[in-house]
Amino acid sequence: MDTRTVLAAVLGVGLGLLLLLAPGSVLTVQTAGRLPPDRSGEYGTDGDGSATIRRLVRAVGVALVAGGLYFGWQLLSA
Amino acid sequence: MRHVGLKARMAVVGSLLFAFYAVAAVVLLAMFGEGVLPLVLVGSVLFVGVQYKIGKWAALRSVGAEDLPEDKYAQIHQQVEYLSTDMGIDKPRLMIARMGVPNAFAVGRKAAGTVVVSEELLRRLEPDEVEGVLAHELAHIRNRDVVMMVLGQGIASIVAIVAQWAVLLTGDNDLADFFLAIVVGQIVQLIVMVFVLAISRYREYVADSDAAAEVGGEPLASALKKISRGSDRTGDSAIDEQVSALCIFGEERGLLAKLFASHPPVEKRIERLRQ
Repeated sequence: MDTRTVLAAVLGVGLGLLLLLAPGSVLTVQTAGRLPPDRSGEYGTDGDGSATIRRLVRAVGVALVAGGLYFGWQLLSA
Repeated sequence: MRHVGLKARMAVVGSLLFAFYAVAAVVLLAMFGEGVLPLVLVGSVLFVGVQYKIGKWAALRSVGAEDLPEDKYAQIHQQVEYLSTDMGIDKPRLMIARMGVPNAFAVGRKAAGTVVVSEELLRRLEPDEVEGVLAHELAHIRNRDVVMMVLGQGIASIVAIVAQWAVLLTGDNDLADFFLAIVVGQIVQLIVMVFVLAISRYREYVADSDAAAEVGGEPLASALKKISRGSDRTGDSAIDEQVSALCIFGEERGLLAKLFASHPPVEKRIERLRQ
């Protein structure tokens, strides 16, 4: 079994789920240090980004889960 | 000695970040030879420098910040003048923006700082509460918090890029390798940022305590309380689409949200400020 394909399947699904379940946290990680943390939220909180950006992050999450499942399916059918 | 706790934490996190960076540099040297060392060092400095410059410009532009008129907001200018002198920093540029929510943030470094306040913040808070918020933002500038965050994110990004290329260059260049490289890069960045965000949360407490030393803890505590209470209601922020997803008590209050938060919980900050 190809280790890299296993990793692609497992890590892809894992990261995809993270993006789906916690888009705001992923945005915080991406924007910290690039944009001031207070910029988009209320004072003293992390901004979670606009609804559009959160949808975009979730869409990337779906793509990652789909990619991971594809490589998983490839492994099982090999 | 000021902020012993912060210095100790910075030593630990700084060492960890340096270790991450060193591993990335060693991987690059192993892949391309020792000759690339100067390129790696210069490239890293340039990368972080560009992030800092673009970040400051983008933050001000994205909220449409304008200079805070001195004739209309003379009291705020005087407060900042006084606080800056007391804190031993140059008076930062003051700007105002319509953000849809009560907010304030600082960008830049000690000698070239900018503090932006939102119109909504000035409308909702009393003058002494605004002073508490301003003292907190000035403390961020004095403590070089913005620069530290840019540096942390820069290291996380560099390590992630190196991890990505290491996966790519050691593979067979098939589809799984490309996919794995992207995923590994993102995961590595998340891992490094856990440490950067942990120190960021502590720096918030330090900025709070610095503000409390200047103007007392109650004004800032009261400001935080007022704003967190306001976020429960649908007030003037309802018009802004961005705001709907921003509530303090939103969906992400679990472990992940705590782990990846750049700010500590407002309730804890208020509690500490009032102690």
